[in-house]
Amino acid sequence: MQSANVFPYKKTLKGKLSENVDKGFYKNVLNSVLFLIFAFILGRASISYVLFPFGIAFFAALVAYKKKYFFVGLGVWLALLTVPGVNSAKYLLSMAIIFLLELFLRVRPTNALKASFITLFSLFASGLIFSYSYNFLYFDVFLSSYEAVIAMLLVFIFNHSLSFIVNRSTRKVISNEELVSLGIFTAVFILGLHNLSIWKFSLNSIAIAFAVLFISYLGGSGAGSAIGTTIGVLNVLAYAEAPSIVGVLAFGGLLGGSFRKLHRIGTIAGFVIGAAIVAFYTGFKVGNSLNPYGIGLAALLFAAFPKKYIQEAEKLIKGNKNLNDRDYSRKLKEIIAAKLKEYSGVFEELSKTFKQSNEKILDHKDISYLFEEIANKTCSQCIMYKNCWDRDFYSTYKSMFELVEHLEKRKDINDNRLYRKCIRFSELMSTTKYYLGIYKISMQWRERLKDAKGLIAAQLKGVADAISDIAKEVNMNISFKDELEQVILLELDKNGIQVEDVLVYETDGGSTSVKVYREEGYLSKDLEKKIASVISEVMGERYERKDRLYGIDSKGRCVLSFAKAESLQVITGVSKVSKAKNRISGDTYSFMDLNNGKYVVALSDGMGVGYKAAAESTTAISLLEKFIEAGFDRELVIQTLNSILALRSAEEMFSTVDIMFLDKFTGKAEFIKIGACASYVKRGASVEVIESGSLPIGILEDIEADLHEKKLKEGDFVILVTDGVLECFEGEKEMELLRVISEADFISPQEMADYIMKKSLERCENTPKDDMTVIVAKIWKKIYV
Amino acid sequence: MGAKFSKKDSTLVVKIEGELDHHEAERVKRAIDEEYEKKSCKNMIFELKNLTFMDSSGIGVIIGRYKKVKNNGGKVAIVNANQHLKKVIEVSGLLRIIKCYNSLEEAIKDM
Repeated sequence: MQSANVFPYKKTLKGKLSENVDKGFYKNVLNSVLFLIFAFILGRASISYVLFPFGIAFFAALVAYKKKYFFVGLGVWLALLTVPGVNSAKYLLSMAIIFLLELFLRVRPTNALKASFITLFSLFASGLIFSYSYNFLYFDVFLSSYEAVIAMLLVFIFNHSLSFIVNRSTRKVISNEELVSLGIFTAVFILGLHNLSIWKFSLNSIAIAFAVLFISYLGGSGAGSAIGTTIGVLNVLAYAEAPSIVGVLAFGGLLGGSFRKLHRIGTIAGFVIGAAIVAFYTGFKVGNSLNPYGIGLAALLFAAFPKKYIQEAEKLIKGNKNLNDRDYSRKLKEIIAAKLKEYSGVFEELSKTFKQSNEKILDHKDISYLFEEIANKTCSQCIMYKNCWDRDFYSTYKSMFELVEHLEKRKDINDNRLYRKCIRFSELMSTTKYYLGIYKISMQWRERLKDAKGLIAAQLKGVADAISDIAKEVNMNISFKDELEQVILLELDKNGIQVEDVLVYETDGGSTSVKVYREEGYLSKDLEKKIASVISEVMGERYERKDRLYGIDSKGRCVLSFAKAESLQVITGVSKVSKAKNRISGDTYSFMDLNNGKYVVALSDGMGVGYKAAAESTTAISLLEKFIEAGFDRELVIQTLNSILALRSAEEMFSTVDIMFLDKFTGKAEFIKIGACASYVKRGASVEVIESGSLPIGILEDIEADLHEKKLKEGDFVILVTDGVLECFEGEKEMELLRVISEADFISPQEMADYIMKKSLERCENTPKDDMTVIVAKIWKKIYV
Repeated sequence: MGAKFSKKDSTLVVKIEGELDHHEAERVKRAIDEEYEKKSCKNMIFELKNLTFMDSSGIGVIIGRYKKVKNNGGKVAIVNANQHLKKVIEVSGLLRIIKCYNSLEEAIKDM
């Protein structure tokens, strides 16, 4: 049974292994064939048909990479045999020396320097030996050293390209060195195709045209003309072609690259037109390297080239760009975020230690200490002391317990042993009561201390959460929209507005911001509107300026930020009356715009009247403002606020808090009520009451806030009042107030607030029973002129 | 005006009359605390039949007592509040922590 369980597992493992072996073998053969072809073609490449350092350098680099590839020397040698009048023995000798030296000196792929010196030495030495056999000419010595130096440099370049060629399928990012090395490798490869042709198609032309088309399509006109120039110059240098080929290829690449927006057909058309113009001008003297058949075939090949590979190459080159430009900032961001997460963890841990230290309040030790005190006070001088506390210790102790229980929970005293036996019972009873009182007070303080510790724990947790939020924000992926930037720059320029730069970026939250950099910060209203309208037109949504003042960046440019405009705006009116004339009101309110397109109205009613009430409600509102502005989580804000207010004073003070958040994009409003009385939403003549029955803040340990949601529209009034306003009415107070509100017909929120206040005061003969505050917020549709 | 006290088993019954605003609140609060300690009670019932007005300070008094009684392991109840008081009590959220009854007997039975 056991073996049956094991067997299938082994089997699958074996199957997988053999598959891996198959794949590895297949890859090995493919690489070998590829390298042999490369060696043959590079081996053919020459400088003026005299010097052939390219094949030798490739051989040296490849053998340094892996010794088993020494057979590619055969490819190089065969290639040399196809070229008439070449001393192939010299190169064969140099390759043999290279192989032996690299084998004995154990050259590794990372040792490009060693390999290149070996190549220099070998090629120079074999060159000298052969030139000695033909009469030792200084010219030959010079040529040999020239060839050796070129080969040495090429070993470096080939070494760089090899690691990419071998791992081509798994590589995702390419470094600059590799990119340049691959370019030179390609150029040399094209040299090796010289004079090879199949029927009317010269391989050289095909490769040149294809390379220029491919690169100009991927990299644009700059890269296209660069590769055209490089290939052209190399061909001129190596085979003394007519120099006009440089111009033909460079201009072809330039036009091809600039038409790449029209896809591959555009690139082909651009290249052909560009090349044709220059070729026509220079009288078609482009030599053997370029012929129309080859170009035609290359264009066809390029058009038919699988899209998948082009995209992969694109990604590779883009990856290279990112590697250079954004890598540092990204890494820095990640490190900072990680650090912040660590800090957050520290605070989290601290918070835990405070939570854990919530020790048990009532301890057995405390009780025995209490009894000892009582006994010391009453019993130590008693003649019965020995009797009670020595002989009958346990029963006395138990009776003491019962006595305390009697005092606490009203247990019947009649069957208490001490009550019947003790000769100084009344004294004992009063002392016990006294000490129990003290004990209770100390318990209360311990309880308070526990609350305080809980508060510290909660605050540390809050700090931890806030830091971890910051970490998230730091790590946020910001995507830049280059194309939109270009369009906005162009449109601004068309409108005659001079700016230095435009930045468009989208944050994780999905909101897009536009930053405009100018030399001069001052912006007339007209100009600001013009810029906003240009941006709005390009973005397809209404954008407006978000900062009242411009910032200055590190380069001394002025920065103006624009963001999507909210569809709604709020205007708030307030009316306030204190209970007693000339005394400060116990109500405090606040309203403000938040960064994220939200608007908040908050109203707090401190318990009682006068200064004490004002201090309480002011603390509540100012803490609330700070917490909300800092972006704390709503639930945590209310909990923390509660703890702080509860701990602030020993007396039973509390405040009600009434908050409305309005999302100015969507019109969604949230009403949070903590012990606050009803609010009203007036739409036309109809009025809706938003009520809750939640406890006020700052008195109990745990509170829960009531949350109501409502969608508001243009023209709606939101009315928040304190209970002093309701107290003016008799009977069904809410209904009475509702009637007043529904009858009010005003446009301005301030007039509305004043009217409600006036009507309420009329009801109570202008003698308010409590501080009164009416806040009216009106929602408007944003109007653009 | 003021508070009257009586004791039923381990429950202190507090009868508040007249108006309970912030002037009265402080005095009533002290009187209740004193009585609660002296009679060493456990539970507390507020009898509000003759209370005509109560503002936020009154709520403060009740919540404060609730806190104290709860620490002592007892319960708090409100009895015979009129329509207006009921509204105030409801709006202030007191119903979340304190039960309202229509008669004293009912409240005591539930202690």
